[in-house]
Amino acid sequence: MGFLFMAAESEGFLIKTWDVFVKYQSLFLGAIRSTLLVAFVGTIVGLAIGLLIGGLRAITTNNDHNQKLATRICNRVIYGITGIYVGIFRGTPMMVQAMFLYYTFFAPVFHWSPMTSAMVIISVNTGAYMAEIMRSGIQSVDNGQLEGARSIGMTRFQTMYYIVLPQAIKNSFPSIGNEFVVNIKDSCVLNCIQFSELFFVAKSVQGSIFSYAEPFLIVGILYLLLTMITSGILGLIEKRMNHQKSSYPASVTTPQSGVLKG
Amino acid sequence: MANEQTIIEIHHLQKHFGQLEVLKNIDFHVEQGEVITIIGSSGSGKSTLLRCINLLEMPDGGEILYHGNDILKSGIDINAHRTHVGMVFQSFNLFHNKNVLENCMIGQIKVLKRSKQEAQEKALYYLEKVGMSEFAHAGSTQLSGGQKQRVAIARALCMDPEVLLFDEPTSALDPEMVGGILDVMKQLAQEGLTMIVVTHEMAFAKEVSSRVIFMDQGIIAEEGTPSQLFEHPKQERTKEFLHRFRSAG
Repeated sequence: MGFLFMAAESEGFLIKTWDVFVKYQSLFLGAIRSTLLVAFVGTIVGLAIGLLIGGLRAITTNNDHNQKLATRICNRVIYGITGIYVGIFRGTPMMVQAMFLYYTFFAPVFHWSPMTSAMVIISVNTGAYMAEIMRSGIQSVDNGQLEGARSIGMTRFQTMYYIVLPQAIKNSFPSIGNEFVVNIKDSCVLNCIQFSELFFVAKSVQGSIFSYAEPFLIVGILYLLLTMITSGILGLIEKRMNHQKSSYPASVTTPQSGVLKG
Repeated sequence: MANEQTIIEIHHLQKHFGQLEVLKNIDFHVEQGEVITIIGSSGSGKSTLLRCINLLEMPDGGEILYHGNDILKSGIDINAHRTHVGMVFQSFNLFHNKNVLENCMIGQIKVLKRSKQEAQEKALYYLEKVGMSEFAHAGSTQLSGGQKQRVAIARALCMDPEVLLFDEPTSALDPEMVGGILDVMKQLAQEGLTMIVVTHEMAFAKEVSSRVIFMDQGIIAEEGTPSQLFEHPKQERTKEFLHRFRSAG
């Protein structure tokens, strides 16, 4: 009997939840847009920061005995400074970082809107994670690739740009995509600076209807949909990347051994 | 004294990794058109010597003269030097993110600043030469070891090097692939390309090289023509090495 009562109750609850969603749909849809926007911008800008910082860290981390003392000291300094950036932004909650930017030191200088502040914070924060992803991605590229490039006279920069980075990005694509999914969810902490993403909107709706359950069930489902769709798309892209340039099967023929023409 | 045909001269070359002295006072020279094979047991410094010639390893002492200019002096463009001295590796080192044709073109375009058209023509010419032209659009990771090494040789040749260095080019190959690569190298030698080859293929060394260098514990223990070195070795350790090799092979 009790079970039936609960089922009836929950059916009523679901209908009510739907009503809430329909009533406030423009708020929710707007929040989806701003959540996706901030997560996307944060991931792309973060990737750019990560490429730069992670690249610097990968270059300066190896203690090459062929290098001059001055270069080695310079490397240490760069590695140290970038390490402080990574350490601070990975070692403190994004919520605290957002409060710092929006309400304290930088607020009087920049007068940024919640949207701008949110984008800056999520980018700089993601950049710190991306830096470590790219550093390990770069270091995972076989040293032979570097030697192959240097042996045909490519500069360090050309080697990095044309040979190492494309492979590093491909190798770390799953982790990069994962950052995007994490950003969709973690952007919710930016409600603390009045940025109207999904969580913020759920709180507002809750304030209007004096009920927690419906708005938070709605955003819960919305978050889940967003992350599932995003993961699906990322998975497809990853599959695509692994199948490119497969015009010849490996075992077509072995070339006639030792026949040199010309 | 070096004559006009001398491409590389090495004087008192030294290299150590930490406490370990890998090269002790190496002296040798390379003339135009020579095929030099360097033999010796593992750890004798053969590969290190080869890698010093195109500065993949920085020597700790001595000098390396390329057409009379010391390439160890500061202010020397190392990358330009490397385009003159090509290298073929044991592990091929083809660029995984490029297909066969792109592997052969990127150096020409980015380093030698050739046009795309010119680079492609040259790449196809050399791919044809090593028997890989039908694989021009294949991914570089899809090839067999022997195929990869052919492409690696073509990639090096595309830069029009004056000297080509081979660092144990057949050591990572399946036995049935070795002959094909050696044939390609023989052909290049006959065409007059200057080559320095670190190898364990004694038959190749005997047949193709104009000079054989035997290295042992960081020094050049003995050098001479193949017949001198293989038939009448003077040094005791050369005899010992060759003997061990025969009984092993």
